[in-house]
Amino acid sequence: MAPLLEVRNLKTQFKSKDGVVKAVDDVSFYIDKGETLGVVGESGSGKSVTAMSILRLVQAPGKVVDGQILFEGRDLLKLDDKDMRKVRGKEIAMIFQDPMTSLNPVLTVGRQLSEPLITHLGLTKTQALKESVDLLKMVGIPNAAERVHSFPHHFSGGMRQRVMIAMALACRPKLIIADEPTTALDVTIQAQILELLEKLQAETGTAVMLITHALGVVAGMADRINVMYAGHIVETATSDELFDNPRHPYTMGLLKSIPRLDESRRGRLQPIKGSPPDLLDLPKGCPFVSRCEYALPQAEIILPQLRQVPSVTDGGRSEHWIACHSEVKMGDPPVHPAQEVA
Amino acid sequence: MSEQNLNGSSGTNGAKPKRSIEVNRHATTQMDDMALSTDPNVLMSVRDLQQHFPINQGIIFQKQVGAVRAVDGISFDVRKGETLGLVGESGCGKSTTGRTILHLSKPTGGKIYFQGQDITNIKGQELKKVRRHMTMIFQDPYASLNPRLTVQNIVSEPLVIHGIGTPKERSEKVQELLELVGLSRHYGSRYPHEFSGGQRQRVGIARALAASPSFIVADEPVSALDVSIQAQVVNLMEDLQSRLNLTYLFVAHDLSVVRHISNRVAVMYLGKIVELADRDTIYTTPGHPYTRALLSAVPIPDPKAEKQRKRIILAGDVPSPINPPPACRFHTRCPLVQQICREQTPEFRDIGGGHFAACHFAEDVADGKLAMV
Repeated sequence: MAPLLEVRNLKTQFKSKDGVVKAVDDVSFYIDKGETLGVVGESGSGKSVTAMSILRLVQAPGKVVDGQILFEGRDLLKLDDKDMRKVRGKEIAMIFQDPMTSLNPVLTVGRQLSEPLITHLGLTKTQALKESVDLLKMVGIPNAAERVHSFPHHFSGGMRQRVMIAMALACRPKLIIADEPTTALDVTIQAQILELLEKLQAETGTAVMLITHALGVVAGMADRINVMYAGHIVETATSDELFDNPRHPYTMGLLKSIPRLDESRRGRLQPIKGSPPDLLDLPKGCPFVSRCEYALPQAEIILPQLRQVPSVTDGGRSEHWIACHSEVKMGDPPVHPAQEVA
Repeated sequence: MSEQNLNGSSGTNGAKPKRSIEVNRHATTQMDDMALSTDPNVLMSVRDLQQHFPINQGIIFQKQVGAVRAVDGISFDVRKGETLGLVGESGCGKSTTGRTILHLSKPTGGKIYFQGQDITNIKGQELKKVRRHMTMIFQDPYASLNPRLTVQNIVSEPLVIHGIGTPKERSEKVQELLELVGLSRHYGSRYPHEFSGGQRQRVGIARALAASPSFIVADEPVSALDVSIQAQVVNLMEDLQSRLNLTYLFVAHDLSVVRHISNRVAVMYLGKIVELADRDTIYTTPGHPYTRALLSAVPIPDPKAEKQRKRIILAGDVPSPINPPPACRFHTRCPLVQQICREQTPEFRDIGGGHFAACHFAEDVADGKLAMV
C-alpha cells in the first residue's frame, strides 16, 4: 500500500547575504494513513521548515529547490496555487505552536472556524456556524454555543489551542501537521491537549505529523520517530525501537543528557559537548562530527547516508535507519570523551 | 554535590525513596507561625510573604479596585548550601517569589530574613550591602545582557557598583570568572551577539558570581536553551555550587530538571506553596493532589514507561489569582474534593520528616490510600 504522504529528497534553502542556508537538505520519509510520525530536533534542525515545505508555505527568501512531496500519489510541488489551496486545510491541516499569534484577534472564533467549512465544503454561513459549535464541543470547550461568538482573547492558552485543533479538524483532513502544539502550554494543559489529540485521532483516523523538541512528548504519542539534526534526518525508527536501541550518537547523546522524572538522581548529567552547528558554515562531512563521541575519521569528509540497521524490537522486524558511519550502541565507551568546556 | 553540606537534615537521600520516619529536628516547626527558625544552617527565611499587585481604575482619580494575589502568604527556609527547587505552572507566583526576596519588588506583607537579619524593609546603603550577597540568574540569555556592553563591562558591573577592586583587579577578576564558567578568558572584549544561547547564559552566570554572593535565585535558567545545551548549564551550576559553597533557589517549570538539581522541592499553586519536601519524597510519595497531577502530566522519554503510567488529567484551567477560590485553592480542579475543602483552608503542615503539605487529606494521599485515577 502506498503511504499517505511520501517526501523524497526534499531540499529547502534560504538565501541570505552571508550565503545559502540549507535548512532541509535531502530529506526523505513517509507517513502512513492514520499513523503518528514524531519529528524531533533542536531549534534550527529543519523540522518546522520540513512541515512548511509540505504545505508550500515557505516564504521568501526560502525556497524548495528540489525533491518531491507525494500526497496520495500527487506531487504537491507541481500543483498550481489554486489546487494547492484546496489541499491546505482540507486534506492537510496544520496546528501551530503559538495559538495566540495564529488566530486572528479581530474575528470571532466562530467566523474563523466557519471559514474553511464555507470555502472547502461549500456550507452556508448558518450551517457552518452550527458545525463550528459541534467542533468546539468535540474539542471539549464548555458552553460551545455561546463561546462560538467569543474572540480569541477571551480564551486561555489551552482553550485557544483547542480552538486551533477544532479548526484543523474542521474539514476532516487526512493529515494534521502539529508543529510544537504544546510547547507554549503548561504541563497539566499539555496533558489535556495530548490526550485530546490522541482521542480525536482514534475517532477520525487522521494521520498526525507531530513536531517537537521534547522526547517525552513523542515517546507517548508517536508510532515512528524521525530525529533531525542540521537539516538531515539522522535516525528513523519505530518509537519503541528508537528508545530501546538508539544507534545514532546524537540520539544517544540526547537521551543521556536529559534527567528523567521517574528516576532518582544518578550523579552528573552527561551533556553533548559543544553547540549546534552554524547552518551557514556546515562541515563537509557529518554535521554532528565536532560534537560526536564516536566519530570515525571518514566522518570529517563524507556525509553519511541513511542505512538500515538491525532492530531489536518486534522480533527484529521493525524498521531502523541511521545516518552514521559508526557502529555503536548505547553504553559503548566513547572514542572522543566529552570535555565540558564550550 | 551539596548533599554533604546538608548535615543530613534532608531526611531521605536517594537510598530510601519511602517517606522517612526519622525525626527531623530542624523542620518540625509549624511553618505558618511567624516564629523564626533559629537553625544556624538556614540562610534565607520567608514568613507569610505576600505580593499583591494592585489593579487600578480611572485615569486621573485612580482607585484600587482589586489586586492580583501573585504570592499570597508563603513561608519557607532555604538552608545553607542546598538547592531549593520552586516549581509550578505559569502564573503560580514562583518567579514573583524569587524577585520579591531579592528586593526587586517590595512585598506587600510578610517578612524576609537573610542570615537571621530581617531585610524586609531595609533601604539604601543597608540594602546595597545585603544585595552583594544575593544575586539572580535570569531566564532569557538574549534579553538579560545589554547588547551595547562588552562582556568585560557586563561581568564587572557588580564589582563597580559595590566598589570592589581597582580597574586592573576587576579586569583580572573578570578573566577568572569567564574561565570559571567555561569560557575563554579572552572573551572580555566581545559583545553578547557574538555568543550562542548557552554561552550567553554562562556570561549571565559569571555576572551573577562577580561580587561573590552566597545566595542565588536562578529563574528558569535553562528553559530558553536547546535540550543538548541544558545539561551543560545544569552541570556548570552544580560544579559552581560545590566549589563556591553557593545556595540556590532554583525556579523552574521543568520538573525533571528540578528533580535532578534540587535537594528539596516546593510546589506552588495560585500564590501558595502547596507542598514542600525533599526531592525523592516529593516525587515518590507526594502528599498533595496537585503535586500528584502535575507529576503525572510530565511525559517521560520512554514509550514503555509511558504506556504503563496513568495520567491524571485535571479539568479546566487555573483560576484567576485576582479572585482565587475560597478555602483550598485547588478545590475547583481537585479530583478528590470533599465538602471540607470548600469550607476550610488546609493548614500547611508537617506530615512527617519535614514533608509539608497543605491538604486536608495529605497523609492518605501520600500513602496512596486515596487513589486518584
